Amino acid sequence: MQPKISLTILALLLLVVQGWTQEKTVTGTVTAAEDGAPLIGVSILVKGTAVGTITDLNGRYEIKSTDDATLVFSYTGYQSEEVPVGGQSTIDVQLIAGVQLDGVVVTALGISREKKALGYAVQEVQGEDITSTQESNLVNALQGKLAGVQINAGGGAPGAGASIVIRGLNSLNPTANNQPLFVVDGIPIGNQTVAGNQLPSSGSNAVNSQEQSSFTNRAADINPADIESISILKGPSATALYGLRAANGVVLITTKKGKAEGSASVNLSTSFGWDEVVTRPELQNTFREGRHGRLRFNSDGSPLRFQTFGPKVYEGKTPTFDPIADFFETGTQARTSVSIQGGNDRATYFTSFSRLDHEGVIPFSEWDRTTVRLGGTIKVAEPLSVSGSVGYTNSGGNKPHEGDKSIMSSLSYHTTSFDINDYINPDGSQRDYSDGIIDNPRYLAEFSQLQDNVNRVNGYIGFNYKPADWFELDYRLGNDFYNDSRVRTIPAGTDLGSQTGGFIIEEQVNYKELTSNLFAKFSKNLGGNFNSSLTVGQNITDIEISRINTRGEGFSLENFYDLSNTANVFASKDGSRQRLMGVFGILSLSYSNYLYLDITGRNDWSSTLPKENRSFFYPSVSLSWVLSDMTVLPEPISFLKLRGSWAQVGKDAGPYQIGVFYAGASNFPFDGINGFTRSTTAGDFSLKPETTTSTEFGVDLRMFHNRLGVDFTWYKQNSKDQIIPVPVSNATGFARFVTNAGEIENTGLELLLNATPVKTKDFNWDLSLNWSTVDSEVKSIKEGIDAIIFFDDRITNKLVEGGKVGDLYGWDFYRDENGQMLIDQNGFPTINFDSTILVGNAFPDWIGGLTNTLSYKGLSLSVLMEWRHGGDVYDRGLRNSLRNGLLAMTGRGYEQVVFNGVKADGTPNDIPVEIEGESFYRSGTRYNNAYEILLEDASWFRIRRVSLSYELPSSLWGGKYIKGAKVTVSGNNLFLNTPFRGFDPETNYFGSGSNVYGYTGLKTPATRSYFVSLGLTF
Amino acid sequence: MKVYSIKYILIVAVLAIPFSSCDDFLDVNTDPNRVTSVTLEALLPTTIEATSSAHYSISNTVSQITQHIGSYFGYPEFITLNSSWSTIYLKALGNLDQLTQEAEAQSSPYYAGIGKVLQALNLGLLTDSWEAVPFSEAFQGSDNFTPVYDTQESNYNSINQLLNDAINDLQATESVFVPAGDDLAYGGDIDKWLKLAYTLKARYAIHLTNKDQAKFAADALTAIANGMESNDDDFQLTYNSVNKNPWHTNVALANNTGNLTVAQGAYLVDVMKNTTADGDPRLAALTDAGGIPFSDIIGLNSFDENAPANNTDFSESTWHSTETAPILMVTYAEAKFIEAEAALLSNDADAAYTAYLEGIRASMEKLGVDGSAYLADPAVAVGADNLTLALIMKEKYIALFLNPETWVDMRRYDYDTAVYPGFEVPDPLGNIGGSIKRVRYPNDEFDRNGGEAMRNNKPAIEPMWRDQ
Repeated sequence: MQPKISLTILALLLLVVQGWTQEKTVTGTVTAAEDGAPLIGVSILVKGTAVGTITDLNGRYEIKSTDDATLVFSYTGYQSEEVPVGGQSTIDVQLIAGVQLDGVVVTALGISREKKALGYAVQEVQGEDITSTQESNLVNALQGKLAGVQINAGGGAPGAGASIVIRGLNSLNPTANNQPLFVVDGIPIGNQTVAGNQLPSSGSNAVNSQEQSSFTNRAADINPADIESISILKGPSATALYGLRAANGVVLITTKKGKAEGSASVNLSTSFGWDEVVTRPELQNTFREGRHGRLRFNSDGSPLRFQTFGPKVYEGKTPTFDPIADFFETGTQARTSVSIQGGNDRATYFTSFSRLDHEGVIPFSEWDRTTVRLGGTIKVAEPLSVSGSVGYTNSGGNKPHEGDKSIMSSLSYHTTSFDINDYINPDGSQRDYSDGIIDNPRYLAEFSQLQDNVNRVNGYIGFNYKPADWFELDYRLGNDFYNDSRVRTIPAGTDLGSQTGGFIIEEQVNYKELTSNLFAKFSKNLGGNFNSSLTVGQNITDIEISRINTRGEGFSLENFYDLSNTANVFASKDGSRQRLMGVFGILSLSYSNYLYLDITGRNDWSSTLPKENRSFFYPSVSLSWVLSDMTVLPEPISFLKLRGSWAQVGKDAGPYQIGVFYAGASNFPFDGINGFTRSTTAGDFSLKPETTTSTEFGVDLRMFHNRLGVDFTWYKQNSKDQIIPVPVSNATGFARFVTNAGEIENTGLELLLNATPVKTKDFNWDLSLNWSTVDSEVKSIKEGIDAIIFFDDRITNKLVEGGKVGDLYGWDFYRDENGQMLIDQNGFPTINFDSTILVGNAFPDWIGGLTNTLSYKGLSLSVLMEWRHGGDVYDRGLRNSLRNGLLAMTGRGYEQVVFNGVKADGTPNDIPVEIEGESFYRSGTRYNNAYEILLEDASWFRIRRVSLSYELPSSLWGGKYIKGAKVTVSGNNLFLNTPFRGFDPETNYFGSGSNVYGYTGLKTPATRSYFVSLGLTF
Repeated sequence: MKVYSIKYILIVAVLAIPFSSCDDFLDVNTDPNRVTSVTLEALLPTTIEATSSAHYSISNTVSQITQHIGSYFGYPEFITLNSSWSTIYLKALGNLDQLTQEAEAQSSPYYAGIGKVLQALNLGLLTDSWEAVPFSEAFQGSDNFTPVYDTQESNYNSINQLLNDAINDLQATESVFVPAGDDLAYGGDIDKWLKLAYTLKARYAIHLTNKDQAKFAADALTAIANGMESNDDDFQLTYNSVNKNPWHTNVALANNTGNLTVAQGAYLVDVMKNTTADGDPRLAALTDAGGIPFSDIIGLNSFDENAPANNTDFSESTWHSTETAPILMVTYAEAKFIEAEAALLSNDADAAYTAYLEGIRASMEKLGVDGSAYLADPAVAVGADNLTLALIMKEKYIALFLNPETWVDMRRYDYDTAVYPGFEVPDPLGNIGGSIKRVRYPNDEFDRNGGEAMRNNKPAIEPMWRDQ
């Protein structure tokens, strides 16, 4: 049934092509202005149409056109050129090198399109702007550059995952993937953050493993130096052709392919950097360890306290330490990347090698990455060219333990009167100040480890057959395979290992993705000023994931961490397979050089939906209207475009969600007997695809000869019939029921501003500003379901109908009707636990970034400033420090106070009470469970990056062997201004695969980094 | 040109065919790591383990109210048992619903009978904790997302019906499938399940003495005649070195690293210290006080700031928290104390006294201590004529250490100090306003079945139907 439909659609779309003709052939050669060398792969478009071609290995091209048309020549790294055809049949063009890439942008399927023809917003970032950040994770390298894109770094652990969310969270499901699809050279790659199961059978209070280590998002395996450019496709209009997997946007990465420059060119870049913790909580130094003002001991003399509510510190007599400063080290980063590229008229190639060594601010934490890539294009026979790319990455290291009972939680409790680095006994056992209650963080750093080792191969082979200007056939087959092999070890003598006698977890994560992409493109002039092109294609995806987890508990021999040395072994395996097929078409129509209309359609078939619902179709339409090319506009305006689009995209379910299953029960086998249990999640047998519908309008205005540009976008995006595991009363026999329910509406504004205030021969000043805001509303959930809780720990992140995504709820003190705090008969405020109230939202009101670039001759200074305004977070580590008497705000004790508020009879409170540190700050009913104490404004302004580089004049070495040299000093996170009390609030408590925001702490703190780098071209 | 177009169309079509030719390509939505149906013997062990686990998690909280234990975090102003609710509904009753239906479909009354006994016991835990809870409309999956909360009276009727049906099933002469090693509690001994069913009938009858004392005391006595006959009949789950006792892992081992949670309570310790001059020999088994003389043992008082610091502790060697300790759910000792109470209420002091002494003896035997001196002590061996309700309930309180059943007893008698002499109902900050009588519904329920949860939500101090 379905295949028939697919072929019918295909045939129908193809019929449109019948009988198309064209009018005139223009030929010519494109060369580089600086040396006259032919340029290969230059894109030539008939302006205002989708008709285009590229130059061959001799820089030659041939294109069908009309006399009144204009040809647009564009090439990465060169300024675009527009030439009217007039009566010419031969047009030779010289392109001038320069980074201005205004004209052409890579869109879906890797198709380069004239930016002005697009009816939706696309933003592009050049490879050089990625590498210059010195970020090893390319997601972090995009920070502050993109409007409508929120990037959350996972903290300062080497290799930490980072999350990227385009145009706001749009899911009611806390575990759904809300991040964009990553596509490298037309082939999607996995960007999962796999937390796995890192927990023992008992002894952990962690809610899941997402918080246990800053697991890497797998896009970090890409060597940033291999990237030619990145396009961010934001809305469904831009991504419609990628289908359901691109419903959250696409990060389209194009890798370098080499240029036919005749001789090979070698690039060498190397850099060295230092990391330090950027901000930190302030600790009190008035009281030392102890309880209720005293040092306390057990009858055998062992200490009976872990709190820091002890006697007063006497300067010079009481030993005092700063555990935070003493614990963290200076991290180091070293990276080297070598690439060789070149080519001739038959082939081009690009090959690279890179190595990164990153040692973190937490002792023993490290992440390194080695990458090799080889790519190129071969012209086999005249109309047929073959291209391919293959990359290998090995990455991994030691992830510092975070979250519950971790390095970071024990640091959050550690007192100030003991040396944190006095951590080990002569027999190798842990030394701590609290008789085993609070672990020593330094000991954990060394012995509580998680080693990961990823081996990954991905690449593609592609065939392009272009027998005529009006027809092109393109096929690509790509893969992404990786294995992530992890070993987690924790000795018995630690808090986390105590209940199991220590444990070891060996976990194998295997990921396999295959993609097949086929498309055919037809171009045609419809007569007069009308032009058209039609692309039809087919796409197949096959994804297989498996995870094998073996956990051994109870070490027999000490200091020997191996499964063979454990008393109890538990094994589990899970995995999934998912297949997708899609057929799609895009019809582009244009009138003259100012009106462009795109119509797309895609039908997907997904293996994860019930058979009768697994085929679904969704369309999009977008229009671009370039007013400035239609009519002459008043003087300061050099360009004005209006754009609008409407699009739908479908989304399928996760694998194996339909029906009811039975699986081995936890705590089984029991005494050798196996037990099964019914799944607590049941799935709707009539599940259907969910739909996101988006409407987008934009204005692109440039003035003063393009010296000032403003780009404004408004969108509204409704995601409905969401496939979500609706939480249901457990009395139904299930905890969740996967069905279509609920709708979220995201409305947003995005503003981009580019200006060149000063432009002289030697001195340039460019600035680029982006600003965006997203407002989200939960339109509906499901009849009878009042809320979906994303996370609940004193501060609750939950979605309720009419509320916003990311709303946070908490407990307040008892208050009277005027909002005055009610003081109880004992003279203290008390917290009302009867119900929670809306107290904040995890997401910022707006975010913005401003890049200023000043260049004078070979010298260039670039400064990126970034703002996040609003957004609240609860720091789970700060609460530990608060309850343990460490935070500066617990420095007041043993004084008499009268709390502001009213007594039960309404009169002002006049009951004096003594604030004895421990009984107040540690009290959950009087103090530390109130949202006022826990939730903080996480707004910030930061100087994200500063980079000063100098292009050394070639006169220094005559330019014979060395063609170019560049020295750069730079810094990341140099300045941070925030009202937040803890470490950098940008770091999310949960890993980069989570949709839960609004929590921080207990993660490796974010760092400030300084770099010195050198780039050489031979 | 036309020729060309057709040629290219053909190329596209031909390339597309192999990828779109079969449904089989997409038929991969079957999980290789899970199944869609299971046998009876695969479900039974899970439900027994879940029942035991629920007893642990309920006890860890409600034993603070009975003051069997005290919490280092202070005395609660209200209590929630969210994880127990989930364990019972999802893992115990959810699977039991499936098990009993399948067993009946497969003509296996033994499995059906066992399933119903376990259903009755779990429903008992639910209604004795929360009062009104869903049962009659529960377990219907997507057919009913908001099952009605049945009244406690209705739930007690359901329990009784389930037990009657179970007794009927367990007396069947034939069963296609017969439990064996998958029966983690009794190893397939159907007679023991039958005795458990009768003992539970007695338990849920004695619960209702506030409704009609004579009737329910008589019902209890009738049922108990067919109930448990020795400690060998105890309904318990014995843990092992791989599947460790939860008091061991969560309390004893956690204590080792300073994650102090709970310890034996002051009221329990005082009662056991003060009954006889030499103390109760079971105290040494119940608590680890580091070998100090019994008279120096101090239990944890979680509500009085001025109370002396406790020296009691759950350790790896206290009886209830060793690695392989059983969780005692329904015991022979309990059966004897039910009998003693019912007989006393029925004015049969001799029968009551015999059962009372046998209950103490069984409890001593269970813990492996020599109870002969204690049993002979005049404070214990008071003679049938001097037997009081307070004595019976005191001994039941000790014998049923950590059993949620004790909380039912104390509420039945409204924490009466005539029955529990010296028992203090705490209200340290004055915020409770009485004694805690019920558990608060899980927050989840307010979001997911809010209408029913709100309708039945009552203050913690309001007594249940059963106790009025």
